[in-house]
Amino acid sequence: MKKVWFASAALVLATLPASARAEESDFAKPPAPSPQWFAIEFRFAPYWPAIDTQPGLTGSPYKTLFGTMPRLLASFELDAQVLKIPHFGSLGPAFSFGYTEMSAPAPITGGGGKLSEEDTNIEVFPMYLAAVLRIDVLLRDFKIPIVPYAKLGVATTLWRVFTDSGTSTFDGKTGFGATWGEQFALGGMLNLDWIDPRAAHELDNATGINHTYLFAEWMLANLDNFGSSSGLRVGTNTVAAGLAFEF
Amino acid sequence: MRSLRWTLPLASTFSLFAASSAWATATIQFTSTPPVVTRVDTTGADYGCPARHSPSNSCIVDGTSQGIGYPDCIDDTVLRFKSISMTGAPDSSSQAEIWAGTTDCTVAGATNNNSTATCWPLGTLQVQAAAQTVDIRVADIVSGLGEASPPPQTFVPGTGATSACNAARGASTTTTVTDDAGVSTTTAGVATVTVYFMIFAVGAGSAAPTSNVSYPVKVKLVGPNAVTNVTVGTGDGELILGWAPPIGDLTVQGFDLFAVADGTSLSSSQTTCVDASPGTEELDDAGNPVLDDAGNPIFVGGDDGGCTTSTASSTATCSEAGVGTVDVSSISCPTGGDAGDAGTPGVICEIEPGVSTAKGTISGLTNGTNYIATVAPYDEYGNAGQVAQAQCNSALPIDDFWKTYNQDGGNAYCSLAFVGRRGAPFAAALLGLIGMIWIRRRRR
Repeated sequence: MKKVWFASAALVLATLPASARAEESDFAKPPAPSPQWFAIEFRFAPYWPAIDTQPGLTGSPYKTLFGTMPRLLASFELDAQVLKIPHFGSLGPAFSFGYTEMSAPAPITGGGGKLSEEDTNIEVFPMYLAAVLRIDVLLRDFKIPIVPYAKLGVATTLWRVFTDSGTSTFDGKTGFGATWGEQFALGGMLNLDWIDPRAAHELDNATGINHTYLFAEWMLANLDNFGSSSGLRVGTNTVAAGLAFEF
Repeated sequence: MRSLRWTLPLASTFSLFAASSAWATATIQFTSTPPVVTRVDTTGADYGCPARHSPSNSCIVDGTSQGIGYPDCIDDTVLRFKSISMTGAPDSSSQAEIWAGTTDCTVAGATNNNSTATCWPLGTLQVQAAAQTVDIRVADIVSGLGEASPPPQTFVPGTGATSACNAARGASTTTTVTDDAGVSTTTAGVATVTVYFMIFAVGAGSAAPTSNVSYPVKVKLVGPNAVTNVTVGTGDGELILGWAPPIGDLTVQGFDLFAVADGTSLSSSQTTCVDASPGTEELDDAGNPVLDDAGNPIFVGGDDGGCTTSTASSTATCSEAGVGTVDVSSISCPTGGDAGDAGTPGVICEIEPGVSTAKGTISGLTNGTNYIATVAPYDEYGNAGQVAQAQCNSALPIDDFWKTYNQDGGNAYCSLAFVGRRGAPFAAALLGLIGMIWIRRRRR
């Protein structure tokens, strides 16, 4: 009797349309992750320019006018993960662009420290092109949601010094320029997918975002025109943090 | 016969019709919706819209209506309606009239110009099939706002723009608003005067019109209240002014900022015109007005009036307490951003747009000079607001960052012309990396 039942079941399965069987199979197996080639970071960091470290300065012009309180540097970084290293991580180029501004009332000339109502300002546009190495073996092979990374590249920052009247000038020199140097960073990313794996999977299906991270890094923008004493040192040595997405 | 107790020197064609007791059959309409309305000056030349009048300088306020401010009125400008037509015309049983009012002028009795009237007359129209262009003076439109109630109106359309404008201005409505702190402020109100183009049956007395079209006009003849809490701070060749904008007046469009050097003598001329008396209207034997070649009624006698120009001078002064005295009430900043010279010798001004703007800068000043500075708002109707209490301060040189940095020995340049000792190794490493990638790709 059992043989009859098995035979009947086998016959029914055999006569089912191929598509129906495939649907059952797809339902049981989760869809594969979408391809991953890029990462984007939304970055925030306290910003202290290293202006007063410039050799030859007789005073501390930045600290004198703007004090010691850091400004908030907001930036983004776009990575291309062009080289995948199995059981290790990824390597690829990254480009970053940011902005911050410093503003403070300017003292009146000969006013004994009395401040005017006119602001003196510096705005900076930090940029860098770097190679980024992300070591995701811990996440992929051992399910530990940590991804260490390192960045090394060349950086430049456009800067402008201005008042309410426009870009500042002094002795024929205009307060506008760019300073170049090296960019270093070491950091770690905390993968957030483990909080709700199902939601992370659905996010990938819906938007193509493979992973979401919180990250923090030490970063050094060593901007001194590669050792020159002539550049306005608008680089910084700070800690950045933010959100990152791989897609 | 519907009696006309007023006659008008309209720029448009004027006509009266013979008596008839038949019901009017003509109807009136605008040939386009909304009607095309432009502005012309007293010579009939295109007046356009004064700069700073409404956000887009289109003279349209609240999205749909022509806005009339005091300058429009006192300049005796004219609204030109280009698109009025009639069907069923010519029709000897109909007469067409133009009225204005702040209430519905189409109800019976509203336009009979006696004690039951609520509207005031502006002129007449030809009852004709061809589309007409009708000019209506702004002063006539606002005249009823300044008339004593009840009617009959004493103002004769076509005369005395100055008296009509000033009377209407004096009778302007006000609006009281209370801010979050419970402080109440009274601001100038906006009146909606609707211009009606109506067809009446000849001899219908106080009856309602048989056909009409209307066009609303927004009137505001008083500028915004003065700003408060004016502060004047020092800058390098400039003064930085701060203030609290007037509350409750949503028509504010921006602020005129004025600076006058301490001790400057300002002279301003003011022209005062005596309103002309229209005299006596000339009538023919049948009692109808005699018209000139332009179709306007002829007046005889009367006073042509005249204008006198008086020159007043005042000196801008600062008190020891830093409070300034300066009369810039008759000065309006030229348009176009940083104005500089206000057109009155000794006055420098700038414009700061925005209803809630609370800070502005007057540049182009001389360092070391003491100035009296003040602020006056202006509204979207082109009205200048009240001038705030002036304050004093000097423009002085400052030590900004760039100056301080360079004086401290800073030496920043714009380019890589001064690359340091790490430049060459870094460039070599970069080129080496690029070379390795290139070789790797070639091998593939």
